[in-house]
Amino acid sequence: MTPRFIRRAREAALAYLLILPAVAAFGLFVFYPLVKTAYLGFFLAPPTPNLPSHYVGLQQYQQVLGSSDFRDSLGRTGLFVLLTVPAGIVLGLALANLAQKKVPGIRAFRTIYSSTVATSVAVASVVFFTLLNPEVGLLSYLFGKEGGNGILADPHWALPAVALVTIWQNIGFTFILMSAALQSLPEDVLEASKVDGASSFVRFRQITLPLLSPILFFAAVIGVISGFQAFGQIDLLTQGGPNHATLVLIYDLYQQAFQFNNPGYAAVLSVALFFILLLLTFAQFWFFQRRVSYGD
Amino acid sequence: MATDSARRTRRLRLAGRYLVLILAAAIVLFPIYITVVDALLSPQQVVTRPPTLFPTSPHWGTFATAFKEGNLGVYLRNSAIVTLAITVAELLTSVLAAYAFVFLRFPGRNILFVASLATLMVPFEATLIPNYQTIQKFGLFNTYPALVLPFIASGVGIFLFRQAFLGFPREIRDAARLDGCGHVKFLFRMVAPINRPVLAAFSLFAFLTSWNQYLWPLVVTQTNSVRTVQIGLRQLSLTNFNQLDVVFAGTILAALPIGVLLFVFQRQLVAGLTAGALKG
Amino acid sequence: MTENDWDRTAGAKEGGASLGRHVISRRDLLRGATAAGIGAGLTLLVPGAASAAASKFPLGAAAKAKSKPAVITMWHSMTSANLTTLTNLTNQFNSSQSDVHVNLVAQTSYTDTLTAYTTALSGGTLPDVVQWENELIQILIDSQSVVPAASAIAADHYSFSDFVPSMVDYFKVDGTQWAMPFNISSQVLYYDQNALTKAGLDPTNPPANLAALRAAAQKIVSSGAAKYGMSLKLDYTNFELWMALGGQTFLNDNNGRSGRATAVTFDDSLGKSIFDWWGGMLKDNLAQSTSFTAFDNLLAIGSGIAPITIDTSAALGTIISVLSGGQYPNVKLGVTSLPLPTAKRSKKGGAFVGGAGLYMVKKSTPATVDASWQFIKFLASPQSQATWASGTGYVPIRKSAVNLAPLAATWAAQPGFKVAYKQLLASPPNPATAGSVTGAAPELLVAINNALTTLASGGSPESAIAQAAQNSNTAISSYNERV
Repeated sequence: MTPRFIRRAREAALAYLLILPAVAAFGLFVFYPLVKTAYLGFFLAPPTPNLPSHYVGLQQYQQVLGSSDFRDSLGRTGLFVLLTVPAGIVLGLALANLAQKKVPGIRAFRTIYSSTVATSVAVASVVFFTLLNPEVGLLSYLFGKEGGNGILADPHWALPAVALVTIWQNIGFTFILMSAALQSLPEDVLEASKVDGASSFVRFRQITLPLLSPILFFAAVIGVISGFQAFGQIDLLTQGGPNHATLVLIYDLYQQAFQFNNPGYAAVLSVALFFILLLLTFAQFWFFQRRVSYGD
Repeated sequence: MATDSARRTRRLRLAGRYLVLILAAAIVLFPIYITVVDALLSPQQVVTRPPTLFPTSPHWGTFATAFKEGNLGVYLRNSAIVTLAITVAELLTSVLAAYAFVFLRFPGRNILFVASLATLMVPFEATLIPNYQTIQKFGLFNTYPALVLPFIASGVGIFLFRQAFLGFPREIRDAARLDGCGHVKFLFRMVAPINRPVLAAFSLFAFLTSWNQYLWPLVVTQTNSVRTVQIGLRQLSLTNFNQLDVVFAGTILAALPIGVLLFVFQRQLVAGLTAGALKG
Repeated sequence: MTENDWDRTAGAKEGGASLGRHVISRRDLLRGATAAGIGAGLTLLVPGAASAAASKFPLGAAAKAKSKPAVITMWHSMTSANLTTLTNLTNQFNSSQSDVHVNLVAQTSYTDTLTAYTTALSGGTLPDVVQWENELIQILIDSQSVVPAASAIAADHYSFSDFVPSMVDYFKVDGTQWAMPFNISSQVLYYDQNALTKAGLDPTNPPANLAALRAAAQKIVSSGAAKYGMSLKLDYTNFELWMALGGQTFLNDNNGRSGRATAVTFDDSLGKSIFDWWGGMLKDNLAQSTSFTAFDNLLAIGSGIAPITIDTSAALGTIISVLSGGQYPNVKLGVTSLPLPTAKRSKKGGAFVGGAGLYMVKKSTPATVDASWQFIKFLASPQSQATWASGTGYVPIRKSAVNLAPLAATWAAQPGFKVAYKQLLASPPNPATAGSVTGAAPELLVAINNALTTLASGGSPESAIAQAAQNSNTAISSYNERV
């Protein structure tokens, strides 16, 4: 046992001690559950947890993933993401651009535009749920749609309505992100393009956008992931209805696990969600890696 | 003449800018404005049409009602306890782990770091059911530990702090080592203080994320004694559907702590949000 | 939505409310849990009595136990006025004898009870008595964690002669009486008598069948008395009840009672006619749809938008108190039994019960199992039922209770409370009127509500009922696979 070995051993011991809490937590609450979820999918869950479960191999995976219900949930989730992410980014960018102008009082406007960052999903959803209530909601009144079932009970407009609430709630965050990005753009490049006489629109497209591409990419990735994970607003606004119009993948998961007591089915959905997100993230990285220009 | 018309167009353009700014602000602010106004109206006023857009005789007592009968006080307390516990835990575990990954050598260092990063790829929902079952098995259903334990570590934190610590000047580190500075002292007296901005930014991020959690507190709590403010708000909106003023007041109470926090720490917030993004 | 949702929102100020959704409660009365734990340790452990219900019911074990009283826990979902009444009854029981002491634990909603119970099944502490929502009966049976009431009934030679048959039959599955009824309700027709008068209808002669209901709605709308004739809550219970009133089963295998149900039977001609009627009412704007989880249908009576609706009899108490509060001075409430689905009354038809029953949980100590039975018997006694029905608006399960104080007085003052009772009393006992039983009840709820929602957005009744049947059958077979 050379002194060097002892020193190294002590160093390693200290290191393991330091990383122990994190690694233990990850092991118990991230990796073990991930494997266990996949494992649960191989069993038909009994009606109550005290009973034995039946092993069915891949049958449950095939049944669930091949079902039209799953395809529909996936489709709705995709639609929801399509409704929220591009619009959210465009709006955030537009507002950020708007608020870049150095007019007196712009600080107040910037505070207002970023204010929704203080709202959580629950806050935004409760506020909009009340505003959209067909009997007493202010928005229903303003748009002359009083009475009836309201927009949240309309199978065609429920999902867009939930998307709208999501966009509104995220505007603050996107605005701050885009503002910071715009402010970090190299002044000299922007000035040079102005001198060149390019119109502001062309300038924006050819110069600003490419410079912004890393942040747009970041916003897109984050947006897609959180879009797939959107749960609170659906639970508060529509509970997956009407007639499954807002039953996105994760709400389906929740219903199966906690309302129908079918953790086997829900486990299959969990695994599907995991792989879909993984795939989408990699796809985005691959798609954007050529378009995103990280300036030198 | 020319300068007059130029001045006029400039003024028109300015007016146009303001118009757009105000319009956008109105749209963004409208729900918040209505929430504040309606929290101060009486329940009858809230539902009468045409709507009252300004509270002429504000009912400040509604906030107290929401706090007590609406249980917002209890919910806020629970959220505060849970969120603080998670934030402190994540901060601590991430700092310690990042330190080990950067300044210590040990077998498996790279694998363990990659594993920590890999947790970022695992959405919480994919692990929801087994985590729920784990909590059940340990008899922790409907307790504070159930809300805190799954989140005592953070892959984001480890990543951010490792990045930051890697930038620690080598010369100072070597000098400190020569001075006989042990690891603990080195970490807490030198590394951490220098990286205060990123520690602060992460803490804010961790605080925000855990304050706003919804799905996990929903499935793992059942009584008001541990219910967090997000789920409590849901509860309030369902039970007091005929007292919209109380619901709105509760919403404000739920959003206020975060609002204040963000306002005070807005610079750190921006830094935190953009840290990962801008650095590419 | 079940009658319990009304209990939950009835005392909006003090109680908690859950509109049939997950995890909402305001109470945390866990004092029972600790006491039960101590009690279980104190009572005598009879060797070999691992499964007390295995062969013979341990009748009298509580009285014979060495350490008394036998302390038991009951999980329930009652709130506000119902909670108060239950607490008073329990205190009365506790102080009237020294063999058994009951601690109440409030779960505030049936879904919370389900969640807490399944959590306890995976290694927690189960209660001794559990109040369990009717629709979920098969799930509790399949959990193999309860002692069938039948064994206690046999051992005690308990007689059901004074009971309303339909209320007992609900809890009999595959020949076994699994539970005792406790809080029972039914759906009734609520209407504003003044609005009917305004429309030229006779308020003392409300519509007795669906055709008459439609005609009445037409008159209300055309006379301008209200915007809509009625509110149709998007509630699968209405559909189920109409099938039962028409003498038809909802599921095969005698509604799942002679064997595990494997498919639905509600897509027959009667079911289709009900869907046709429902879709027609909405399409012709004679009725408005209201949400399953909200009370807009009742609010609509008050605000004059739609003066007729169907909802649980358990809501009556709250409705009366709201109306007497003066917010809706023009409304004169009328309550009557449900309109029949066909013009001609079906001899086999009758309403099935809503509400919950009391189940004894399998425990290893005979004293606690017997204690549970003693408490359940007390709650089912005529006097207790008179007090219970009077204080809550639920219907009594004992026929003799209707003449006892305080119920007799309450009913004399508010005859509306009698409607649900009479409706259930008139139910001839048969599989159709017993109500359907399946472990996939939660999925069926969603499937049928979704089908009704398509009606609300203009879908065709044929495809709606076909969709409901298909999704229900899938859910039933998938549940049955899991057992």
